[in-house]
Amino acid sequence: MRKLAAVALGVVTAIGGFVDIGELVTLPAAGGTYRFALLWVLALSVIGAMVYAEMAGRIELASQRAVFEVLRERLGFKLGVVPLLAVIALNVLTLSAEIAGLAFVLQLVVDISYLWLLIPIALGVLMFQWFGSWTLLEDVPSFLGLPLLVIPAALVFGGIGVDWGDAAHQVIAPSLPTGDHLLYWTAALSIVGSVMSPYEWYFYSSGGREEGWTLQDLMVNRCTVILGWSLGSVLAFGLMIGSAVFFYPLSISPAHLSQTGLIAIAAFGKVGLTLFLLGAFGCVLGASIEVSQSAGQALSQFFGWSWGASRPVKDVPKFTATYTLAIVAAVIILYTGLDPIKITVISMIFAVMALPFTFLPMLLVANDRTYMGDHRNGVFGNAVGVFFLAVLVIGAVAALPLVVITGGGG
Amino acid sequence: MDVGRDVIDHRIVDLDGHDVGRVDDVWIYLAEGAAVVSPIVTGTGALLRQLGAVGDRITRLAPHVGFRHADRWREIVWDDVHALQRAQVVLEPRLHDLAGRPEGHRPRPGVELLYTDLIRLPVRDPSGRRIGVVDVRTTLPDPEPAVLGLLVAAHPLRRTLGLKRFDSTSQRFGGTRHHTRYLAWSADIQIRDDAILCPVPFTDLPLLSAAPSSAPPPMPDQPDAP
Repeated sequence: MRKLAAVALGVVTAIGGFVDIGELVTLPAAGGTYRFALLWVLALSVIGAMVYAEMAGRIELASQRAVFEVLRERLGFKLGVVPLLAVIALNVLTLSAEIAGLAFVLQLVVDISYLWLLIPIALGVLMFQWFGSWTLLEDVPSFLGLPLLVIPAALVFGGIGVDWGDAAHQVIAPSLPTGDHLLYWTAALSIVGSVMSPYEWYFYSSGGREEGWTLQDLMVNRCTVILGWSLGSVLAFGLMIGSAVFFYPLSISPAHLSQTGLIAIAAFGKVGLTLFLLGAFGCVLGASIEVSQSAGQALSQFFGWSWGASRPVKDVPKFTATYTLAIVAAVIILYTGLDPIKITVISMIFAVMALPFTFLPMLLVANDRTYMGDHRNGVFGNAVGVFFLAVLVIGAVAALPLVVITGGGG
Repeated sequence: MDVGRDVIDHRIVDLDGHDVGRVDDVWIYLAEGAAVVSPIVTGTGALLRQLGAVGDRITRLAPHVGFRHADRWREIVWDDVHALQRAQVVLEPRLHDLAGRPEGHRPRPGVELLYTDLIRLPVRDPSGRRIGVVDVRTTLPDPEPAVLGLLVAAHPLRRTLGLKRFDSTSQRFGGTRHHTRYLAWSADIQIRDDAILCPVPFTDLPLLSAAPSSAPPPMPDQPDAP
């Protein structure tokens, strides 16, 4: 019964926590521009995210260590510092995007420029983490994010005509656009970066430590990942398909949350808008917390500092200082005047560049019998893991030239 | 056990659950035909040494930006170690505050050297062949680990993909079960400043399967809180 409850809670939090500002920006834009032609990338990314999330959880369970603890032990300081720096830099950039996303959602509600909202929001996110427990940090935003299901609900029950057959066909046999190939592949990379953000599974793995998982929880880990990520991806598919149906015929590529919200309004009116805004706020709040916590967790685990969201701030000073500094740095980046949407897209593409540096060490550890015992990767796990690693290496190599040539995705 | 695999970079906690840091290095004391591992080193100074020239530059620049501990480390003797477990070193209670312990003393050539310096040294066999150290095999601590020998390979960096650690049970993904050989400390090896001299040709050294057991330290009984 306890395991069933754990799986149920894990699945619910995974659904509510699946979407962040990266997905809220990149998926509707991709749907509006390329209709269903990038659905295959989304499907592939979701599978890749599930593979590595399961691996991260299994590493935690088998070794009783979170991912960055094992990375330090297995790779050593000199090599381990590479994924550490990549993740920290990526987290700060992503955090900028998340805080800007929260400000945009609130701007739609209170009609004050988002620039005025950045500092209060950053303080709110900070206070929540200073005084909140692990359960509060993980569960509250995830439950708040559930109303975002209004988007897929709008597609199913809202009277919006969706050609599901064509959408399914495009997942399996996509028809690539005849022009703008560079922009198409840049959009594809930003989708990969938004769905496969490394912070998600580092945070997930650290959550195992926070909750004291043991090897008895192997099945909980697997079920949570498979069910939670699959059902969570319903939100992501909803965003892209909804935008494809709603905006593609009008040749509009939605670049703002308010435009994406039109899908919910069209189906359910004001109630739909309210649910959309509440869901978007919950999802992005959850992501802000996850990203900042993940920065603190990564550094603390790597250097052997005490850490833990449920522990009093005075007991984990370096951990607290790290995520506090990450939030401060993210706000400073936003006040430099850079376009938050551009920051979001670039952070997603930077994520693709950083992913191989974080995936390869995980794959190495997951194959190490010293750490994993009988729970190390099997042939299938390695085949899938290596396949995604190869895809990401190709993406990482192509990312920088694509960003430069297309000016950050156009 | 193998020092690189089972000690270096592992977490240091005390019995009260306080995190002390990570094992950044260990001293290896040399004696007549024998060697022991002691003490454990933790701190920024030991970490930066691992970065070579980059670390030296950071160490020099750090005081100019207000960080005055870049060249310091702390040392923990094995008498203060309550238990060595898989992936962690457990200290006696209340040892999380290590202020006042010796900080950053430098190696005395021929008497002691740091683990990270030892594994960087090339190993030369009688034919002049250059091989490298993959790890150092020791006994389990009693009270301190005694060095049994070196694990050596012809191209340790390439073989381990540049990784510090390896899985001696497998060859996949950086494992080194094959092609790695065991050089017993009792084989009259000489450690010089620039190289380790191996009296036996590399190809005559025993394979790992014939080496003393590398049983790792036991797993902790219970998972620890973060």
